[in-house]
Amino acid sequence: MDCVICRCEEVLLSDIVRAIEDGYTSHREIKLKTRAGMGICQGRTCRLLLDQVIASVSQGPVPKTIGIAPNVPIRPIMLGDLAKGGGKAK
Amino acid sequence: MRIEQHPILGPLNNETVTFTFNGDVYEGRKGESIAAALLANEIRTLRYTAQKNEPRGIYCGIGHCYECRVMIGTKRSVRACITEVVEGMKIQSQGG
Amino acid sequence: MRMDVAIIGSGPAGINAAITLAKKQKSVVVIDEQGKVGGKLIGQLHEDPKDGWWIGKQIAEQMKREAEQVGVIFLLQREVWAIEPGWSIKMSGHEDITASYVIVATGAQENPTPVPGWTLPGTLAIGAAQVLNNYERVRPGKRIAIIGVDPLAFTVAQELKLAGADIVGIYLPPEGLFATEKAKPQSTIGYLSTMAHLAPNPWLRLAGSMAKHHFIQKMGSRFYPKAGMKVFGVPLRLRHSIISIEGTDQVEAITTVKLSSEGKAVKNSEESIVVDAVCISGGLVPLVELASSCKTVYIEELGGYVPLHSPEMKTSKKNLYVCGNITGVEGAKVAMEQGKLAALSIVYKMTGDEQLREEVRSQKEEVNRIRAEATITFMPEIMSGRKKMEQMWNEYVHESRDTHDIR
Ligand SMILES: Cc1cc2nc3c(=O)[nH]c(=O)nc-3n(C[C@H](O)[C@H](O)[C@H](O)COP(=O)(O)OP(=O)(O)OC[C@H]3O[C@@H](n4cnc5c(N)ncnc54)[C@H](O)[C@@H]3O)c2cc1C
Ligand code: FES
Repeated sequence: MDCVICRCEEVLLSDIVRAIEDGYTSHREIKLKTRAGMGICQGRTCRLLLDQVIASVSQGPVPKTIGIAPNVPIRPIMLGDLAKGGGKAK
Repeated sequence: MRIEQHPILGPLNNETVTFTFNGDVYEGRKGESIAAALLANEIRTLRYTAQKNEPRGIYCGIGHCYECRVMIGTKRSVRACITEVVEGMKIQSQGG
Repeated sequence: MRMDVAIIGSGPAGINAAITLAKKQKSVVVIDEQGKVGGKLIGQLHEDPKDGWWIGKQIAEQMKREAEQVGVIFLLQREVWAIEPGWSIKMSGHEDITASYVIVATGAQENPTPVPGWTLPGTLAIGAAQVLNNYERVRPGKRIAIIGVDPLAFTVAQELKLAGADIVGIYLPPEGLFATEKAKPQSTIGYLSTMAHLAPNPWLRLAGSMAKHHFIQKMGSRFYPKAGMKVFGVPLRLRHSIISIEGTDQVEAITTVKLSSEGKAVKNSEESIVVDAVCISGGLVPLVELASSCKTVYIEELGGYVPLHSPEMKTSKKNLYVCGNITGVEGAKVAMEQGKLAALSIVYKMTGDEQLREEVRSQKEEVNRIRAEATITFMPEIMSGRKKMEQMWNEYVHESRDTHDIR
C-alpha cells in the first residue's frame, strides 16, 4: 500500500521507507533527505506519521519525541516576524 | 449541498454575498468560510500541486494542513477553511 | 501591553478560564489562531440525555458574549509561535504581549490515518466534516463513507444523518503500519464492548452492546455478520476495510475488501462503492507543541504525550498552567470545568487568599463530578489516566522539593 504521507511536499510512504533503508534513520535525517515535514504546514499533519514509519521500519519503539518535537517557531510564520522578534500589540 | 432546513438547528440564514472563483461568479452566504461557500457550489478542487499536478481540496477544516490554500487578489496562501467569504471577493486557485 | 494572564486557545477550556479570571478582577487576554471564538465547540451537536441538545455554536456565542461583558480581550487570527518565560507570547503579525501568567489551552488535534487516495478532494478529516455540516451548514457530500470506528465517527455519522446525508457505512481503516489494532475486527469489537457501559451516545451504546453480545464476544469476530450490522440505519462494517479512495479530480468511489476474523484481507473480495465524500477518523491526540518546554509525560489513557500537571492544573514551569484537551482527550463539559479550575488556581497563587483555597478545592470536585457524568467519552480508561497523572505529579514534587516553588 503506497500513499502520500507528507501532503505539502508530496512525499510517498515508499520514499520514506527507501530513505530509511538507505540509512537515513532519524526524524531529522529523513526530513532533510525526503523533505517530508518541511512544507508549508511545518509537519503538523505528517509528524506523527513519520514517527510511526520510523518505528515500524526500524522495528524499534515509537520515538519518544512523538508529537513533542516541534522546533521553535512552531508555525510557518513570516520570516519578517522572526527577524523583528515580534512587536507590541495595541 | 446546503442544509437549508435542519431538524435541530432550524432554517438557515439566507443573506447572500457574491464572489468569484477563477473568474466565475458564485453566490455564498454571509458569514461562511470560503471553503463552505465553494463546497455549497459543488466545488471541491481548490488547486493542483506543484510537482505532480494532483488535485487538492479542503482536508482538516481548521487551518492546520494548508491544503485549502488559495489566492485572494495578490495575497497567497490564504486558508479557505478559516477565512470568511465577503462580497466582491476575487478568489484564485494557487499553483503549488 | 502587560496583562495578568494570557490564555492561548479560545475553546471551552480557555474561554471559561478567562471569564473566571475577569470576574476576579484580573486582566486577561485570549489569543486564538481562528477568527472565531469557541475552538472545537463550534461544530458540536449531540443530544444529552439530561440537558437536551448540545448546540456548540450557540454555547460558544453565549460564552463569547459573557466574556466580553466581564472585560476579556480577544486577539483572534493570531497564531502563537512561541512562549518565553516571563511570559512573552509571540504571535504572527509582528506582535507580542507579556503576561505574568500563561494558560495553554490549545486542545486536541486529529491523528491522521493515511489511505491511498486520501488527498483527493472530497476526503475530509472527520472534524472538517463536523464543522462544515453543523457550523457552516454545508453537507460534505450526498453519499458518504466513514473510515475509523470510534466515538467521534459515531457522533459525526449521526450529525450527517440529521442533515440528510446517506452514509454507506462505517468501515475499518486499511491494514498497515498506521492503524495496526484499529484495522482488526477482533480488537475493534473488544474496544466497542468496553465503551458500551460508559457510552451515553445512543449510537455507541447500541454498537457497544451489540459487540458485547455473548456469541460475538465468545467467538471473537468470526461470527460478526459479514454484511455488517446497522446502527440506527448506518451499516457498521467491522469485517470490511476501505483500501483505497478513487477518483480523477475528486472522490468518486471507495474500494473495500472483506476481512477474515483475524483481520486479513480475503482474496478477490474487492468491491467498488460509489460515494462523493469520505471522512477519516483516526482518533484524537492532545496538541502539546506550545507547552513542550514543560516536563511532558506519556499516558496512553489520556491520549499520548501531555504536559505533567498538578490536580490544580499547574505545570513544571513557573506560572504556566494548562486546561482542557491538552491535558487529555475529553468532552467539552469537562474542558469548561478544567478552565475554571486553572483560573481559580492562578488567583489563589496571586493572592494567597484562604477563601480561594476553598474555591479551588470545590472546583476540583466539580471537575471530577462532571467527568463521572460525562455523556461523551473518547478514552475508555480516562479515570485511571487521571490517577496516573496525579501520582506522577506527586513523585515529581517529591523529587524536586528543594528546587521548585510548588504551592
Ligand atoms: C475534530 C474534533 C471533534 C470533536 N468533537 C467533539 C464532540 O462532538 N463533542 C465533545 O464533547 N467533544 C468533542 N471533541 C473534543 C474537544 O476537544 C472538546 O470538546 C473541547 O473542545 C476541548 O476544549 P479545549 O478548550 O481544550 O480545546 P479546543 O476546543 O480544541 O480549543 C483550542 C483552541 O486553541 C487554538 N490554538 C491551538 N494552538 C494555537 C496556537 N499555537 N496559536 C493560537 N491558537 C491556537 C485553536 O485554534 C482552538 O480554537 C472533538 C475534538 C476534535 C479534535
Ligand atoms: S483544510 Fe486544512 S488548512 Fe484549510
